[in-house]
Amino acid sequence: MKNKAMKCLLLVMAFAMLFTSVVVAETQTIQLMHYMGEKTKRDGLDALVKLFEEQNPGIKIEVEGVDAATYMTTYQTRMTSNDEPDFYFGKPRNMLELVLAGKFLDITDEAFLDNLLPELVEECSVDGRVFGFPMDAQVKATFYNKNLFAEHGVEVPRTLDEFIEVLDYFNSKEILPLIHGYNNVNCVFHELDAFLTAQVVVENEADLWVKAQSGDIKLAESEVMKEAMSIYAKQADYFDVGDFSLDQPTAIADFAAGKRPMFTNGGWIMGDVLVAAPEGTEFGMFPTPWSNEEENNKLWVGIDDVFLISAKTDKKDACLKFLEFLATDEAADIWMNYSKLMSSNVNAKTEDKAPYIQAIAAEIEGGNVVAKALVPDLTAEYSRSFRAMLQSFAISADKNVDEFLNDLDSELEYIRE
Amino acid sequence: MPRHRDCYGVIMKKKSIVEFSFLFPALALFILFVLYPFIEGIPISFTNWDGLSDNVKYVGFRNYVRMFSDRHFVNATSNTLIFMVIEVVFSNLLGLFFALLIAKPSRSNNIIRTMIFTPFCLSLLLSAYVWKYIYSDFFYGVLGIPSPLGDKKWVMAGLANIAVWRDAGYCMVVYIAAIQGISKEYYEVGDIEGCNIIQRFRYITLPMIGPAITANVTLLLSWGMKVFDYPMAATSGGPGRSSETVAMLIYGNLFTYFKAGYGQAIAIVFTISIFLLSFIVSYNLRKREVEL
Repeated sequence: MKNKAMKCLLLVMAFAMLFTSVVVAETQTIQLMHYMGEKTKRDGLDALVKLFEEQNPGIKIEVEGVDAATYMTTYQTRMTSNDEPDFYFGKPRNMLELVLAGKFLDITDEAFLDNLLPELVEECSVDGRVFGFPMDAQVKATFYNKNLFAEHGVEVPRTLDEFIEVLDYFNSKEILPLIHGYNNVNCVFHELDAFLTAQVVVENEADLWVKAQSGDIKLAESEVMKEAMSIYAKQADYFDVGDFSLDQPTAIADFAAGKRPMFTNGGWIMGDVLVAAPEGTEFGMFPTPWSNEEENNKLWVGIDDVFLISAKTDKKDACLKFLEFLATDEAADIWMNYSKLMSSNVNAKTEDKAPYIQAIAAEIEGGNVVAKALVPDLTAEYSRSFRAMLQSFAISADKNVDEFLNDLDSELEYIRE
Repeated sequence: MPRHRDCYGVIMKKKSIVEFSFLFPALALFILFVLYPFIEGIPISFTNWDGLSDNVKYVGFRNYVRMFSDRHFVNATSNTLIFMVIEVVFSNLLGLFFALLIAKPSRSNNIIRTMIFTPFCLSLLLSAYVWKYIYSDFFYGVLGIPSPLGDKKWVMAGLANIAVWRDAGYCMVVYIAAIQGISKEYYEVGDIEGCNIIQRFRYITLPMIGPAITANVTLLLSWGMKVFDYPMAATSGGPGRSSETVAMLIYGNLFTYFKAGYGQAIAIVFTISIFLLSFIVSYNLRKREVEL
């Protein structure tokens, strides 16, 4: 009798263990690493993960945030120690060395990419193969405080002359028109890139940076570059000494508080701007003008938040399923609501979104955009050196364009050697 | 008698082994985490390895030769030396000044000591962030003095000031311990001889705290040379490259520029330089110390 009871107990235990192992085997845990700094984006990702896990009970996603300033170090350390997450985060062309080393999964043939803006998918590709999934249609533009514009009766500028007029108008009222986060080398660069990308495309010099890096052209001899730097210098001249040590978070807070009417930067700042802004403040957006022909002033559109699958993942199907989910209209709406960004989804609905998102949607619908994908940036040390020099130029008393471009050519040549 | 000598020798040998056994754990960790990686890095410094791929080409001494004509390396070395000198000099002067003022044990002195030492308990990054806002919000916002972090000429002094603010408290504690260890008899003799306050400091206090000066100067010298966190957090090496330090340059080459071989070569030269500089300074200061 005792023996029989023991056998029954063992049988029950065996079934229990079998059942448990089946359940455990069915639950897959995906590790997702990102370096999103903005809380609004992180909240959006959490909401997406939550919904995805509800819809896919067998898949769990563990989100791990890393420091944006050192993400490359973290990635390389994890790769060399064979401790890779399933998802990475970042722009494939900014991680060219990793892409070429075969670290990311090729997702070129996935059907869900058809739901996304083709310009963005193109920017996620290297040598014609797609390695990243872009979450949003990011823009670089001039964002403005609609309330301040209305209060001063200022119209949104669509040409360079109109833009300069607006700058001069606010300056005459002792309001510095633009906020400059010059402590941050990237803020310095975004102010230039916001209009230079459209300019080089319109002027058929989209490969300007590539050629400058390889030594095929001298930037000091480029009329486009000279003109761009003159416009840049003009904008940088509306400054306060405090701007030289102003970091991006403080610049965002000051812009949100209405201390200055305009901020030329990437759309990623807007989530934090809206959180910090007093109730009732509305923000608009216009493509940063560089030309007096309105149709030339196109909106910079590119990728920002991009997920990449590790080539080494053993949960490829689950990872692809997550990307498929992100490409749905439902996911696009959640992402836009939280991150306050324009989605990469071509079917995204923007009617109930903030005015600047509606403005972005209108520019995209009107075809007045220029894809960042067309203008590859300088890479690695070239990029670091250029941005550092641009920062010096922005804060210098006499902004000598010719001298700057000659120095830049010499620096690029120096790195090449 | 010879037997007695043998016994003495055995006892001394045993004592040495016991003493070494206390040192062993720290030595083992040092070999594992410092010496071994350093030696492992030497072969990499003779290659053009990008830090990722399997393609590694031997380039001989090219990385080492290039380093000394690299203007970024020269700029970073100059920035690092400026930072180090300001930090070593002012942290020690301020630390000694505070120590002389509040070395006497009393309740109020204990409170002041704690307050001065508190910044040392903060992390380097936090200190940098705190000062970034002090410079912009208080110095510029309230006093109208532009932040040194936005000025190419003053940025290293601005960063070194953060280090002085943080490390002066540490120096003070070491100097207080040294001052309290000086026998009162020396001062009594000084009083009988008619020494004034400056002479007491010059001929009694200063020579007697020699070992503390050696320890503080050597330690702060190596901290100053290795500076990375302050410029990384407060300026990212800017404006331009005016606050890029050698440690930042090594980091940039190893991880951002994909020049691991070159970065490793700078790291090796830099490590040896810190070792040599610390040794020379420490050796010379020790020679001047008073033998008690």
